[in-house]
Amino acid sequence: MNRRQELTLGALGVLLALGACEAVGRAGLVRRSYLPPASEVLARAVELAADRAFLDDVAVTLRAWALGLGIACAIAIPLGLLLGSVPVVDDAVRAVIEFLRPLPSVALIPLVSLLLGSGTETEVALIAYASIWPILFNTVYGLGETDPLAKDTLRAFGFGRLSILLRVELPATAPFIAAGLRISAATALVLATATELLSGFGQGLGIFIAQAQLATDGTRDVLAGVVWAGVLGLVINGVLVWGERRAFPWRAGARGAAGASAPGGLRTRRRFGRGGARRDDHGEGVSS
Amino acid sequence: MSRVPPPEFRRPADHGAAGRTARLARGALPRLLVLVLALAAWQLATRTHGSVYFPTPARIARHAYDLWFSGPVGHVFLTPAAVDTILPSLGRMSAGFVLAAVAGVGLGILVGRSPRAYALCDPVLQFARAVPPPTLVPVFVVVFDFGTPMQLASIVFSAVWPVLINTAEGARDTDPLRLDVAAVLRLTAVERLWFLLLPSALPRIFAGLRLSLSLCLILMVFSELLPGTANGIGFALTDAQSRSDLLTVWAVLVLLGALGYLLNTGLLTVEKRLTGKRNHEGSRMGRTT
Repeated sequence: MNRRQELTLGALGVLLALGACEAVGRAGLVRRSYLPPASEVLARAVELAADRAFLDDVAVTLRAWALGLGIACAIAIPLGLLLGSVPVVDDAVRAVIEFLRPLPSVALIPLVSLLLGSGTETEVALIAYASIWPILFNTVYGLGETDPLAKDTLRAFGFGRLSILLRVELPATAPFIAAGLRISAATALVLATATELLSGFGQGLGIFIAQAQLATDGTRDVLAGVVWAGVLGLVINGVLVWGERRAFPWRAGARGAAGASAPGGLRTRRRFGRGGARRDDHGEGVSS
Repeated sequence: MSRVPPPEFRRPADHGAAGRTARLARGALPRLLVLVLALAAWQLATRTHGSVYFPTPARIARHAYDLWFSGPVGHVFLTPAAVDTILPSLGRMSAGFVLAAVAGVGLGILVGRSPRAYALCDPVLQFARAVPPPTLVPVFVVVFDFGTPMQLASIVFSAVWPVLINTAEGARDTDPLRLDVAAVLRLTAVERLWFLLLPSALPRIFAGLRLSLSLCLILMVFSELLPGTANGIGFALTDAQSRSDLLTVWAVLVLLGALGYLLNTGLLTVEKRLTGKRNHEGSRMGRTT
């Protein structure tokens, strides 16, 4: 099947899905105001794209998202490099991390909003907290995957620990960090919308949805907001996948596009991958 | 840098049972020690600081015990409050997770088996997965009203996509040679599914399940945090927040952390049993948010 057929089928699939939504909306299984047909939702979504207030909402959410993700990177990458290269620190910190990580980050919303109030600080702090883990774990994992031969070579030439880290380990780990960043980007969006939905006033995409929900006949607006949230997620993921391909072409064989999958640290070795080529695709990095 | 050695050279040698015990002694004991030290430091810091917002861990533990685990032996030490709080949440979460897993694996195998079906569904699936699940909860609130159906729908709808997409990819990547062998051996569809497709997709399926589990936990809490819920861990959280009862808030957080840890470990154990994966990173590397 060539690319063109795939695209045609994909477009057909989208149309079918829209048709199904339209049919469910019109058939009256649920009340029309509860679940409006797809055409109305899409029309509203297009309308919103020209709405200044809505665009401002999206911009506020994106700013919090970027800020939180940036803070997470600033914490997670250096910490990951430290953990990955100094086993003693790794042993020490990991026990603590193992107990912090499984906590569903959404549960922190009440505590953090008691501490910081229900403003942007809360949102950014929560986004940062949730986004740290995938980046951190991927950095540590990627460091462990560095080619030992390259490290030994540099060591033999008298390079110090730090320059080996900067010249070999960091570049070799970068694809893993990028994969972690992509997973974190999705998580960050989840946290951004969740915090906004709960706080309920101010500005933001989640707040738009929360307020639309209260209005009569508001489900159409809610769904239009959801459509834009999905588009946002798709675009972010697409841009990051594209960036990964551009920046790390040597990993292009790995299934970067799959974005969906995150075989955490899986070491699936496919001796008989497609076309007989061998590849291991844990380039996806560690899920989180 | 671009030269990556073949995987077999990268994997550290398996040390066998003796090595494993040694590793456990080396890894587990200092970790436990560090954990105790961290707890002590937390206790000390909160104690000297004396802030209302940061109660000491000892008080949190005591409070959690009083709140939930000081019940009669007949109820496995659970208090009525625990029965009202923890069990409904866990029930909804596990029901949602199982539903999402079954639907995701089933549909994923169907979609992944045919290149046409995969091409047809891929864009829609990618979009469905890209939607941040919390945004859909208001829709479910309208359609189902508050209560268990709404919460279950939120959990299932957000957790099904990672499993579905990963399973589809796993099934799609089944070794064509083996499929040919299966055809030569005239395996029936069921046999092919059981002996070939599922095993080869299994690592991917579990990668999806791990993501789903963390989403389940997030959505479980989120759907209970919304005003209008009557029970559950999330409700206990908002209830305590509205009363500015920080001790309970912290106790709930500790409880959720412990639950998340247990569920994660459980899933990893099942995964190890089923896939026979022997990498010890599996247990160390991160899984959930």
